[in-house]
Amino acid sequence: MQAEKDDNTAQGPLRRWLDDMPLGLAPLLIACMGLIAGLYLLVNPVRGGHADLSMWVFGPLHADAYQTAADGFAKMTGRTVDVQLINYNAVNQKLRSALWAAVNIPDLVEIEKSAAGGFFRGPLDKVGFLDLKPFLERDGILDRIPANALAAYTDRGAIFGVPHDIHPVMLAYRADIVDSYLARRGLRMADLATWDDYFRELHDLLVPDQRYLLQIEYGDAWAFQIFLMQRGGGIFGPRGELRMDDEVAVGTMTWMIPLVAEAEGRKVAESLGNWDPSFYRGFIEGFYIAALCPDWRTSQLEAFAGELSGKLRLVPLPAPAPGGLRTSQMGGTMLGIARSAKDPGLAWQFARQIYYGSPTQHGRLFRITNILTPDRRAWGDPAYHEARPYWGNQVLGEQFIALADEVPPFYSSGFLPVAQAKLNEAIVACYSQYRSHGAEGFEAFVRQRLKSAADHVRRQMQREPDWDAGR
Amino acid sequence: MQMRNARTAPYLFLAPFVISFLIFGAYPIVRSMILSLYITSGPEAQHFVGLDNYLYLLRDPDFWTAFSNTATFAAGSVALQLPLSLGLAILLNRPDVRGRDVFRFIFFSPNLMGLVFSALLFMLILAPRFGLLNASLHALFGLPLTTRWLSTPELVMPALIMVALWLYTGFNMVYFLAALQSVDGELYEAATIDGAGRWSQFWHVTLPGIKPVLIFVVVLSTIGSFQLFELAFLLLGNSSGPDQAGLTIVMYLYQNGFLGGDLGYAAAIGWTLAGMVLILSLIQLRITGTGKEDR
Repeated sequence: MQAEKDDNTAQGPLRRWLDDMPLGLAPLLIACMGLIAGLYLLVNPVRGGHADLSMWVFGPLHADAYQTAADGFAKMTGRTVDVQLINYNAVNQKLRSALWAAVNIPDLVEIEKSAAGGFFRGPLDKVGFLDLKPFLERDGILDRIPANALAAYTDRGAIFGVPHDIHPVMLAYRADIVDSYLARRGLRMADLATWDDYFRELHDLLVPDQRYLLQIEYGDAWAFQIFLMQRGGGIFGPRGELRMDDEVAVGTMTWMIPLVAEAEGRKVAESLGNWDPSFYRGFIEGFYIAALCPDWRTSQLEAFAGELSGKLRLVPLPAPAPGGLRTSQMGGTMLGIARSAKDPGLAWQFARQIYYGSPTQHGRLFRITNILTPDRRAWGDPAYHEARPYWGNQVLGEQFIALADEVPPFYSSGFLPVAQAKLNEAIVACYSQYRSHGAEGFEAFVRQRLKSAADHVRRQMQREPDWDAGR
Repeated sequence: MQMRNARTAPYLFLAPFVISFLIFGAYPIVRSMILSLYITSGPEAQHFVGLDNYLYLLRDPDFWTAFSNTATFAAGSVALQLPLSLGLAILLNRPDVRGRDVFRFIFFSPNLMGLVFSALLFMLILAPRFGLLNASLHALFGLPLTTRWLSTPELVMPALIMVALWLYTGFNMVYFLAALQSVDGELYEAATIDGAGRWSQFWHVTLPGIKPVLIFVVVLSTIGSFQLFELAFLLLGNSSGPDQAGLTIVMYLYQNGFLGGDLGYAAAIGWTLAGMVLILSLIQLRITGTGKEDR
């Protein structure tokens, strides 16, 4: 023992100190490494890029296009933009976390329309986005875009986002099946001006369990919302008021449910899913001969249903009644500028370039996505006037442009997710009711069911504090 | 000096963990508890409501729908998964099973795949008309090809339980295999000499031998089931499914916090879930008598 102690004394204080470490040398090394790494990071903090502007987008095609635009922007202004591609679901969570922590907030961000309302809650001056109305007015852009395109991003008079798109809805149908059939009867698809015309004239094409006249997925509220907006309704109104149980909604539900819930033989609409490969397979195999088709869905059909090349055509939606609206609206993306943006002027300059800049740039993107920009100035680009072989040489751009000003408004709300969920429940309940009891008392049931769904949402809305009271 | 070093050293080594835990664990826990007392819309828009979020939650039918769905999933998946896992483990623990290592790997392998991949795979398998499951059921039993597993409210939960079975049965099997291998073989020999049959051996030797692991797996599976989110969210196309048939408690939390923007209400949902899981775990431990034998 004494010898060991002498030995330690002889080895010096450092060695003795090391030997005294209760867990040996390894933890000390780990601690040292941690200390060195920590000190290094303290001196050289990791920054989210050294660009002048940061931007988050969730669409890969958008990211590519904006990166190209950012390169041009850098050459033009000498200022750089860091375009980050983030998953669709992640971008909402990441943005919400960033806004809460006031850390790493992007200067610009793209958000999907249905999620936008959640970011507009709270006192107006505390919303995480800048009111872009002054910019839009100053640059005369308000006159260049259809007014309804801004509805989803307008809250209490402030415009928190600029629209990337309009998304008119058309009807994509199997021309190889329908056109020759109608021709034999001396009709054309364009003659079927209302839904009643459509289902009546095509009824003989219906083959129970083999072929239906329209794809409608009753299990989600997607188709219902399209029909609802086509009839001038909506889940929310312009002042954020809930409208999901008004007479338009009751009428839409009473009309739509029998299409999918009638007994086999009278049922005219079916679905194999809205978003998965079955949807395309069903269309390819002729399980349904038509589908509701916003502009963005046309490019998905081109990509995932190549077999239908030359067999599909687009026509305006048949109207709910003679003289009614021939289109609707579904989906959308906004671009917002964060209130915390380092240089809002510069951020707007880039936003203007990518959203309302060169028509050629929009045209290039349209050729890939088929998504119509709301910027009228770009509609003159040749890309919007090209025949598309996939669609039997129809000129898609011109078709969308013809409907652009009729696209109904969609009003956002922070309560949209809960309203959509309750609407979905109501649709399923109405479907079950019709399946079991038929048309008798159906309208009264629909009215009661929608009201109870809406009451639930209203109860949640009533909990919302009046954020701006007393300001 | 040496004594002082020896005394302070453990604290120094513990410090990184303790500090990290306080910042990234304890603070968020406390903060979320405080947050649950507010209606919120961003850090600067908070409105104190006391316990109103919790009281509202108790009257919120959506929360109870989510609770009912989650409890059904937990009960269904645990009740099916555990006997299956245990059965597989017993089978693959027998030395006379040829290629048992291969089988063990095969049964465990679903767990090696990502949840996203599994969800995409099952979206195809469960697809109406063209999916493998419907095609098989049609060929074997003449059932309709158009069964809509993920868009018929009554079928959503069975479909989720089925996918969870595929994912986690092999995983739990590994726990049971490890437990079975630790049961003393002499006990079986003694039981055989005493005339115990296979069932009797299973009941009186195997089960008591693996009881700690069994309880661990039951508790862990229940907790995991109550935290169900990604699988349902992905399979149902980022939604709660038709008629909210796939709405789980965590999904409801996500909808309120990250889609609706009220992190306060979401925090209240989170704390209620934590309370439920705690109570359920305590009940399970109480029923199984865990802890008593340690005293």
